[in-house]
Amino acid sequence: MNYKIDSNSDTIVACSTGNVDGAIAIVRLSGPKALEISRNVAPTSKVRDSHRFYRAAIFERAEHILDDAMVVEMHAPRSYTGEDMVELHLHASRYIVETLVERLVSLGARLAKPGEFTLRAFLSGKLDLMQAEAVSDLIGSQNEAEQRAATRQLKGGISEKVGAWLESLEILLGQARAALDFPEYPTGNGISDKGIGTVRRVSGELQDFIGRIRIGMQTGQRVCLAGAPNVGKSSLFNLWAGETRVIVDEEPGTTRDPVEIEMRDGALRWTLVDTAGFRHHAGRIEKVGIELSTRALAAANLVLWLMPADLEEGWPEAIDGDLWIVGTKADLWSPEKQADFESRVVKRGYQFAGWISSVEVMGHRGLRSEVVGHLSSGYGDIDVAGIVKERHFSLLVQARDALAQFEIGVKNQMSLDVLSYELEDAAKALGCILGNDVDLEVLEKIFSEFCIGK
Amino acid sequence: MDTLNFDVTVIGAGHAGCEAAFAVSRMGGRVGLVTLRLDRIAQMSCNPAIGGVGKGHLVREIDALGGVMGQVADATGIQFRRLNLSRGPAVRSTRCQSDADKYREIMTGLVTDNDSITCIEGEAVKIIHDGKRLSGVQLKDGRTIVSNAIIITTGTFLNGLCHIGDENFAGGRIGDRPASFLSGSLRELGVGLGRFKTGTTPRLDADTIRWSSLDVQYGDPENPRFSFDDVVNSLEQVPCHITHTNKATQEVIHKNLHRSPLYQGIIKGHGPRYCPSFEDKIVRFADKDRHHVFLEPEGLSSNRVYPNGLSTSLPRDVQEEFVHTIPGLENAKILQYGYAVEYDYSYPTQLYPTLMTKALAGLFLAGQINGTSGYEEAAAQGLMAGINALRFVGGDAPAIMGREQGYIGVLIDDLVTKGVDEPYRVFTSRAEHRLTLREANAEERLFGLATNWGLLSGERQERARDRQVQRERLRDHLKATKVGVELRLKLGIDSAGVVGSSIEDLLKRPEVSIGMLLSDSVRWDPMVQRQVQEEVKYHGYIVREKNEIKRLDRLEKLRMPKGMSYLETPGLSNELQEKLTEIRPETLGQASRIPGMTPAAIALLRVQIQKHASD
Repeated sequence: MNYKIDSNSDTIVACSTGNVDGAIAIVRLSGPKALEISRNVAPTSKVRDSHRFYRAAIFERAEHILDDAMVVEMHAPRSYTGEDMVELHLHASRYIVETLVERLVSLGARLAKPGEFTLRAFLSGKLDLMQAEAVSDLIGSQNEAEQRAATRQLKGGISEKVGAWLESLEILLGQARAALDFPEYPTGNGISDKGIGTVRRVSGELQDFIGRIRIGMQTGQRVCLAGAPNVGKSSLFNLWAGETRVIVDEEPGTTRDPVEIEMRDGALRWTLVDTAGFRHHAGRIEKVGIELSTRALAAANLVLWLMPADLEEGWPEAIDGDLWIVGTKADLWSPEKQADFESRVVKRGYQFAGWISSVEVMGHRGLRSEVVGHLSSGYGDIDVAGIVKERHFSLLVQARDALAQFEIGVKNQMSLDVLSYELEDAAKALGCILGNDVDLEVLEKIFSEFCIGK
Repeated sequence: MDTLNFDVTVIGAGHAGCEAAFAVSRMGGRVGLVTLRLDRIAQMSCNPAIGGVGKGHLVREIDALGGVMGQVADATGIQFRRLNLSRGPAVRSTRCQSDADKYREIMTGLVTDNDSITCIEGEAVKIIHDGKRLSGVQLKDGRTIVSNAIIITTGTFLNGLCHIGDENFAGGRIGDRPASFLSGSLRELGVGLGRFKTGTTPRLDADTIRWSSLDVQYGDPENPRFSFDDVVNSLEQVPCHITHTNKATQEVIHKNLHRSPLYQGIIKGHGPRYCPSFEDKIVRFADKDRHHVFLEPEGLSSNRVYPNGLSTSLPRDVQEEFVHTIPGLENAKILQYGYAVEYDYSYPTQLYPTLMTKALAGLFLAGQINGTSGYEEAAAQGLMAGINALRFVGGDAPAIMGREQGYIGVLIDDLVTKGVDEPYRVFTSRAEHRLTLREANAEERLFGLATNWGLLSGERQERARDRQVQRERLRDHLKATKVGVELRLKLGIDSAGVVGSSIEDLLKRPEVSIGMLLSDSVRWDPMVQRQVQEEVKYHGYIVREKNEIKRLDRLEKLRMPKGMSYLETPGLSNELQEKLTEIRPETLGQASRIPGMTPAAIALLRVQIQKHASD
């Protein structure tokens, strides 16, 4: 989409509370004519102080009262957008909101475009780029953990941290540049042991920070169903998905592409992925499916490896993430056979999650609550890190990698021009997170993601 | 008397002025070169040296663009070195000691022998114009030169004032009177002028120095040169000597600091931080009681010695006293005292990237008048101003070098976008794409510009193409040649796995150099070898930088709307509105480099570009 950012010389209006069926709806105005327009619909004989609530009758037209509301003016520059702003707190009724917005537009306001309030805040220097992105996350956040992270970021917590790293690197860069330009500069290659220590510290902190981020948070964590063909993956998938989305067939290898669906359990949203079966001697066409599945597995937060008790082969290979063995077709096995299977699982060093059967629809509820419990436990750390955007993640990784290259370079006695290049690269990535260095593509993309009225 | 009528007139025949005149001449224009004294053309007013870190890059680029500085420096050098060898190929720079008299003589010969350059002795006093365009320049003796483009390259001569202690006298350089009228003419046009100062060292009598007690510094045996062409130089190569100041020197300075015009407040102009006067160094680095002094010969037939590091404007008796505290200089005779010179400079943000003033179409400024320091910085600007002046006269599009194309591009963009608050010197750290902008590849990266702008003679183009063919051949050779057992054993490489891989792969190893891999290395031009080796060893970095340049290019391609009124752009701070109005950036990229620019403001400007485009 070619998103156009509009000039901010006009006054914009939007209902800022979305389609919430609550008690109150808030309509916001921002721009040079915000005060004038609002006083037209909510007349007052006195001047309203900034940042103070006033009760006021809202007029649809002369002598026709639309609502009994609260009005708060925020005078420039002490407002979210940095412009004159007015909030009208109304009773939440679609009729009231729509009538009022229509009236405000007829008085000279314009409907806000997606993200325009936040765009104006950013343009007036009220928010840095990261904070602006956090606003979008806060409002779009799907659960409590995401919300906590977004709130932290809005307050500038991460910006501070990134800013501190950047400052350390800038000092070092200053020394490196001096050495590049003054051949008579005292220290050998311009990077002192203390400087190398600084890089090691920043690099360590970055690594620690990155390690605590789960990038899955934005798109939801991923749980992957895997195992040999025809062990019951798609059956479980369908059961949990609540509808038959994947063709289930007696012929092994029916599912070729990974199929996924978004799941919701209380505050948690996660993604369930079904993969093609893994078996040796796969057919040519199926190989493609298996390759895709291998990739899906690598990206999963949790793999559920499904196996019937009579299967001797088809144990999973070691993977990086968490993996549980789930026994399938439980209705077919005697308790002895089940116990034997469970002990084989444990002996091989796997974690056993439980038995399910699609025929008698047993066990899958318990399994699901274990899965949900497991996914929820991962959220504590994300809150500490407070990182939400993939863009930030990749920039942090870029900075970390550049510093790692720097350290390798020091070890290999690389020349200073190259070492300083790595430092500059790391500093640039951190600067990008803070919005010191702006890529317009990113900027326009970010603002096109916003919803009206934030 | 000839009618004085030229395509371009250059005022000032220093390093900027000469380069400007030659550029116009090479492009087929007729040029008048006005100088106060014909016997002072291309005079080295300060140290007898060309090049250095970053400066060497400039000279190589000037040479790649067909300029003269590199060739004259090569012809008159009496010691050649490469600096920064240990700090990587990007920042390795060539420097030479010059025979200052020879440098002046050869440059003067080139200027006077050139049929399309007319030298005129005189003082320019007034720019003739109708408010919109200029039409010529008035000389003090009453003559008028008719010209549609003028380049002012007056260096330190505009209202120049020399200081030694509390004595001061008008002069652009010791022994030469200043240019006293042109400043007024510029001010009349609305060109704002500031005051800078610079200084130079006392000159010593070589016969009175105790040489035997001093450390010797020789040139590099391989005699690194500036020009891509071979230049004949049969001059004897001589060493410099090194001594250092001590506690006694420090005491003399401290005792007499109150007599320095700098510390008395007599000198008001700002001086360069990186090239401070000696008294500045003593004050600023109070904990350091030892400072290096390089004793540089001014020429083979001169007995004058330039003690690099001792720039001063202290009174004569103090200069005598502190010089004599320095080992080897106990009895040194001072032939000329050190002095400081204050001069008018024009704020370079008043220029377009072509170096033409925004105040008057056809008027160009180049060199030290734009607040720079150094012969090389001056020459680079002179070259670009010369090219653009003739293109202006002919109605051709501006010739602008990007920051990713060369140090000359960096220098000019810095000047016109950021301005200066002290004399500007080029540094490698100013070039964000320095891994791409190496000395070695200057010809290859600028060949396209040089030919587009018509700067190279037919023969020179031929030679440049030959070198290009050689580079390609060497690259192919490295790729196509496989490592044999013999080579592996010769290099003492343990791993047998390298056998059968290309020698290019081998060259990526830090301990391998290109000379080890070429059985017939004499066959390849050393400069070509050097360049190709750098490309192979730094391949990964060069690719990364290329991608970054591509990313930034998006901003450079977004042109700011012509005649845009920043004062009416909502959301910009007053400070930025003023800066943008003054600088009038050509692209969003340039706007983004204005000091104090915020991402929010860039976003706003982006919006404006879009609005203009859709209007």
